[in-house]
Order: sequence, then structure tokens, then C-alpha cells
Amino acid sequence: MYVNTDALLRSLPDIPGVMEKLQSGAYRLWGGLVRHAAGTEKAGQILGHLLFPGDSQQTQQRLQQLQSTLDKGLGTLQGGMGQLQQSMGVLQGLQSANLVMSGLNLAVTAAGFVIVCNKLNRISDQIQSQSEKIEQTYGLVKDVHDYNTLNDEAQFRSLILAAQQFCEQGDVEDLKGLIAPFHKEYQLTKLVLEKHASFAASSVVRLPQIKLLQDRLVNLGLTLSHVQMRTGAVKYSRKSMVQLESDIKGLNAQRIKSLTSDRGTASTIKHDQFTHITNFLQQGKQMLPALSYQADVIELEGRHPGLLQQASESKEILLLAA
Amino acid sequence: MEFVVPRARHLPDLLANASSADLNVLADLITDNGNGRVALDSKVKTTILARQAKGTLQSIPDVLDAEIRAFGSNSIATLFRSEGVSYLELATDAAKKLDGKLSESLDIFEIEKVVVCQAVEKYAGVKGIGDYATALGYVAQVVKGLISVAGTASGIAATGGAAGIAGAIGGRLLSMAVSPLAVAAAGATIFQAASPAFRITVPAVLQIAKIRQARYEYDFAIYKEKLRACM
Repeated sequence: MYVNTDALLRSLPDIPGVMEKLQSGAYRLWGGLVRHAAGTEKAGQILGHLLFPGDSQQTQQRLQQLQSTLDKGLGTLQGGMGQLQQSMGVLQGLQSANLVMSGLNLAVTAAGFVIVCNKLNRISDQIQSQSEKIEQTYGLVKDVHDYNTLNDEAQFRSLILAAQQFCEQGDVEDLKGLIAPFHKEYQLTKLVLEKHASFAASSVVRLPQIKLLQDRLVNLGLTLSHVQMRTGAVKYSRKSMVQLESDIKGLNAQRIKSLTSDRGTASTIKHDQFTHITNFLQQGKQMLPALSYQADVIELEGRHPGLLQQASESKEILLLAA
Repeated sequence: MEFVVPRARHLPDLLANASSADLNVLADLITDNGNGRVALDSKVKTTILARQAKGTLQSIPDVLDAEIRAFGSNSIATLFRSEGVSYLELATDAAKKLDGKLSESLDIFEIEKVVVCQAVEKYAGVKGIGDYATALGYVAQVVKGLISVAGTASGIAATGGAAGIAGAIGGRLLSMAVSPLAVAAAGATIFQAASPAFRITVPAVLQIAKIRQARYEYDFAIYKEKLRACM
């Protein structure tokens, strides 16, 4: 059923009732959702969905403004302190996610998709340059292996270029043909990362390569989700996003399990290495709110087509009434 | 220390952060339970006893470190103190004295492990302990027994020979684990261990191994906590 979103979509700062109730703790933020707080008559019910601007800097500014507005409520609050603090925590999490991922709408807007494709190309360059260094250092790569590596990389790059072209041209049928290759690239990267996540030593000595591969996985997941959405497969687009969130969480959990159960490796880790490892793990953790938010937004786009375009062009955080 | 969970912390670093209960054992060993030793400077003894009384032995890790290492270079014929040997050398000598098998690749953590396992087998009569944590569980009793005979050569006689020594290191433990003949053999082994340097250094290494393990576990717990915070 098509619903005109204009009547439902409003700029958040222009809705004083919502801001006041967030301040008082009567409403609370839950990811990208505004809900009635626990202990209220409609506890848990969704009041509306937040939609963030397409530009990551504007998102950051608006999130800070929102946090600052809610912060003023802390001094005067009688009850609902816990609810307000939780809402502040959500805003903090979204700010971190926005910074880590350079945007909260990467998979769900056309502009975000261009950013993701460019990132994937940069990652490919880095992977290629590291691969060359490894070959030069060890001289282990034979001609056949060398050819296969280059061939795989060429296939990957051509896939990204084709996806960019088909998206720009709105060529839905050709985009559909790219879904399977994207899945293959995503699964291949994920399997490699899973294999290394089981070895504590990999998270130490191979961290630079693992960071690159995880970066590729994230951007591949975003790309896959976007391509799915552009082909009209909103359900699968959301599923890809939820899967990405679950995979990042699972990889982090496996790495932590391996690292905390291997005393031999633990004793070889130097302080600066440990800082790099925990920063990397924190980065994975911090991007989860952005992935969760985008999964929700994709679902909304399915119900209200065109909503994302409207939201991404806005400079303010919008609230879509439930 | 450059490692997050180091296995080879330097002795002063370990001692500066050890518990008072663990350091008291070392102080008793160095000062012969406050009676003093020929090889112990009276001013140093006074300092150690004063800090022990206040429960602040952690504040003099360098003094304790120097005294322990100095015992590594003593012999019955050499009552004059030298600067002492390195702790690694001291622990290696202790392991060899206990017939432990060593290789050049072992770090101090592994060498102390050899000392603990050999000492528990020889003095407590418990054989085939595969688990280091279990072996460390016997250290307090073994060290207590060794300290009681570590004062002077007459101290060994005063304990009543092999049977007395067995009592000193925990007769109940021994009688449960080994035969009376083995108890006598264990006593004889202690007599050998109680030669001038090793009667101090062997229990010292055992106690330091216990302190190191406690610190290692603490460091590992902090390491795990920081990683789990990234979940």
C-alpha cells in the first residue's frame, strides 16, 4: 500500500513534543527508532523512524546538536534519567559509526554507493600493492599463481565498474546479473577472514592484510545490499545488510575467543601491536549501529518508496511517524 | 616491559608488585627468619625487617633483588659478597642442581617451571605432575620446609635428620604420597640441596616462580578484559 510520506515526514528539531519527551525520558532512542519508554503507557511502541542526511558531515553536526539538546535535559530531569542516558548512548554510538564508516547511508543512497565503489577500488589498489611487496620479499609466487591473483583482482575490479555503470544507467536487468558474482566475492572474502579469525596469531602478524580484507568485506556487503535494492529486491537488500552486521559481529567474537584462549600468542604481543588489534576490533564494534540503522531504513524504503531520496537530500535529521 | 602479557618480567618489577604475603616468604629466607646470616649485611637486614614489619617490602625491590642474586654467587668457602649473578643464571643453576633438563631456548618462565616441577617431585615426593598450576600448589609447602632448614648446617641436624626434614616440608603430604623409604630419600635430597648457595636459591626461585605466575595471570586477565570490551 502506498502512503504519502510528506504528511508523515518532518524535521526532528521542528517537532518540540518529541524533543521534550526525549529530554524527559518519556521517549527513548533505540537505534534509528524513537520508542515510548519503559514504564509509560505505550511502552516499547514505535513512535517514528529517524532518517539521517546523506552527507556524513551534516549527519555528524546534527547528531551533535541533538545530543547537545538532550544533554540540557540532564540537569533538570526528575525521572527517566536512565532512559535519557540510554538515548544519549545511542546517539554516541551512531556518531562513532558515522565517523568509522564515513556515513550512515552508504548502502541506501546513490551517493553513498559511489563512495563505497571508490573505497573498494582504493582497497584493491592497497591489496595489490601489498601482494607485490610480499612477492618481492619472499619470491614465493610462481607465474601461475601470479596470473591467477591478477586475474581474480581484474574480475573483481570489473565487477565494481560494471555495477557502478549499471546503477548510474538504471539498468536493472544487468544489475541482477551482478548479484551472484557479488555474493561470490563477499563469501570468498568472508571465508578467508573466518579462517584467520580462528588463529590468534593471524590477528597479530597479519593484521594489516586482515584490516584490508575486512574493509573490503564491509564495502562489498554495502554494495551488494545497494545493488539488491536497485533491482527492487528490498527484502534481500535488507537481508544482505543484516548478514553483514552479523558477520562483522561474528568475526570479532571469533577473534576475541582465539586471542583470549591462546596464551602462547598473548605473550608475544607487544603494547603497540595490542593497541592496533583493539582499535581494529573496536572499529568493527563501532560500525554495527550504522549497519543496523541501514537495515531498518531499507525496510522503510520498501514500505515508502522514494523516502530515502527525500531523506538523503535533507540537511536535518527527519522523523518518519510510524 | 614491551609485552602485554610478559613471561620474563625483571625481578625488581615483579617484586615491586607482589603481595606482602609472598614477599614475607622471601624476606624470611634472606634474613633467616630475622636471625641474620653471615653473608647478609646488618644494615640490609635491618632495612628488610623494618619494611617487613610495616608490610612495605614492595618499596625495596632492588634490595631484595640484589640479595637474592648475591646468594647465587656464595659458597661455603666464599663468605665475602660479590655483586651476585644474574637471576637467569641463578635459576638455571637451581634447575641443574635439581637435575632438570634444560635447553638454550628456554626463557626464565620455562626455567622456573623446571625448578618447580623438579622440586615438587624431589621434596614433596609427588611424581608426574603434568599441570604447572597443580605443581605450583605445592610450592608454599615445599618452600616452608626448605626455609626451615636453610639457616645453618646445624639447622638441618636440629630438624632431626631425614624424618625431621620430612616433617618440616609437610609430613602428611609426604606420607600420603610416598613410602617411608622415599621420605628418607627425600630428606637426603634436601640435605644435598641445602648446600650453602642452593639452600637459599632453590626456595627463592620457587617463591619467585609463584610470584611470577600470579603476575602473569593478572596480566592475562587484564588482557582478556580489554579484548572482551571490544565485543
